[in-house]
Amino acid sequence: MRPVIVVSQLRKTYGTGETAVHALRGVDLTVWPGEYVAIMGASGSGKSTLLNMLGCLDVPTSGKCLLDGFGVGRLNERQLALLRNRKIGFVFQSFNLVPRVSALANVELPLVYSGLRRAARRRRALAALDLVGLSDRARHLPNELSGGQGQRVAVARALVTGPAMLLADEPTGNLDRASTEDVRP
Amino acid sequence: MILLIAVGNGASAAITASIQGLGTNVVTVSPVRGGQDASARPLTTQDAHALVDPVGAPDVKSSSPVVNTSATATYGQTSYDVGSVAGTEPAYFATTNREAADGQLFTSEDVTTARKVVVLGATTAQSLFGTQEPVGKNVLLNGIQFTVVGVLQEKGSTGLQNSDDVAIAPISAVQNSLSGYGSLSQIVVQASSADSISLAQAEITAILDARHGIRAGATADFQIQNSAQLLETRTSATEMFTVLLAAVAAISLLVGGIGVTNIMLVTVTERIREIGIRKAIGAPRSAILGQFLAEATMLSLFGGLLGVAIGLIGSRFTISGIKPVVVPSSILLAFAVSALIGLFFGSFPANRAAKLRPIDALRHE
Ligand SMILES: Nc1ncnc2c1ncn2[C@@H]1O[C@H](COP(=O)(O)OP(=O)(O)O)[C@@H](O)[C@H]1O
Ligand SMILES: [Mg+2]
Repeated sequence: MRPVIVVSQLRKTYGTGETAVHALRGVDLTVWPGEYVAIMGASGSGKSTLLNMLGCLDVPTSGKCLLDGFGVGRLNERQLALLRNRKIGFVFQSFNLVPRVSALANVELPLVYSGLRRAARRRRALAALDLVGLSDRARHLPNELSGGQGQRVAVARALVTGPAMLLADEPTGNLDRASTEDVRP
Repeated sequence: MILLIAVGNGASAAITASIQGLGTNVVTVSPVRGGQDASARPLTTQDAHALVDPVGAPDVKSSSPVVNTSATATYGQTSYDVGSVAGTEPAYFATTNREAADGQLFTSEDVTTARKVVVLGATTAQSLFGTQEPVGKNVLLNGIQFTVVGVLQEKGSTGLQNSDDVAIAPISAVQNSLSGYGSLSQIVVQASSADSISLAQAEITAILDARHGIRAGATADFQIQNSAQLLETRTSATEMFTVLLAAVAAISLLVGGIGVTNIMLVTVTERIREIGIRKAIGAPRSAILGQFLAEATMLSLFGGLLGVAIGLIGSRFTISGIKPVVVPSSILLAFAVSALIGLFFGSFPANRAAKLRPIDALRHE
């Protein structure tokens, strides 16, 4: 078996000189398929920073990062986009749904970029929404959904491509307790 | 933009048509005003008549003296400023291809006896009489009574002046009561055929040089133009007009292009977070670029459509005497240009948006 995430000596420094912030100082981490890993730490300890590196949203200052066997540092723009699309499902702390389009369209979006045809897209998006219990809210716009429902749409969007890993950055951090129960797997 | 080009084209079409209406065998002699020496002699009716000379000018068919003046025409309670009042002789009508639609034209006898009769253009007649029959009625031209003997057939607008807005009377009557006995405004000469026009021109020059005592090589106090030359000057005038209008259109196009760029920059800035989201879930740069380019093109195509529509509607009205003529290719051009503008000016902000790193785009407020 091959680990989905291998991280070694990962460093990230924001800024330079006196104001430089060393958010990550040499992180080593290996995650195997099927593992459920929680990273805990105080606010400002670098959790988001690490997840952004793993989600290929940001680039580390130094260190190596292997995702499903691919060395992230050696990939170009197009390959990175492909990696984000196929291997990674990312759930943001602040949902980050596209505000102008319906919940269904939001869930369909990653499939649009992977080049799936309309009918197949629709079917899989509806299935993913059903998985998070929101099939009756498919036509609603993000601002017509409660916080918990919005975040569940975001989870559906992360799961719809069947990614190798699901990265969730404090997915319930912006929610009240009842909504938190909604999102919990 | 379509409208502007259409107006320009309309003007040149109208002018060309009006000059072609003159016929290709017409030569106009007009006085050169403000000549350097006081010896410059005015053009006279005698000059005009001297040009009809089977021996000295075998290629001149007819020659009509013309005085142009302006006058206010009054009929009953209606007053109307006639665009052009001309005093001339009957041959003028044949030379300028004008016929009576109603009543008749005045005769040589009317000229010799200086009868106060007048032939009205269609516009003038319509303005003064409305639906009434004008022939036989008396009108006042600057307070002097003239009898309407005929109404001319419509000829249409020339763009710069309406050739139906005229009143034509015997030259003797006009000089008696309206213009006085100064120089003629012009002598309109008809050559015997279009081919003999340059011969006729040479003969006219010779006769007038002799009559005005102009030595060989000296500057004449008159100038001769044939209708082809007239056409040329007028055409170049309207060409300039069209070019000017096109320049205005080009400038507005540029401004429009900057507008599109601006709008695109604003929409892109407004939606940087959305771009971040799209990139985070795996949108390649090309997809983002494509989306924004498509939007920019749609935007400017919509603008182009609007412009074409406004242009087409606007071109159905007559603008300051000019009936615009829409050139089909200008519609195509307008569409092509607006699409290109969309692509060109949209690509800059779109490219900027697509190059962002997802995390930077997401952090953007
Ligand atoms: N874009 C940035 N520029 C500068 N410093 C940053 C930036 N993002 C995060 N940091 C700093 O990096 C550290 C780690 O932040 P973060 O990963 O968001 O922590 P957590 O998610 O664990 O609360 C913090 O001290 C924060 O101030
Ligand atoms: Mg965080």
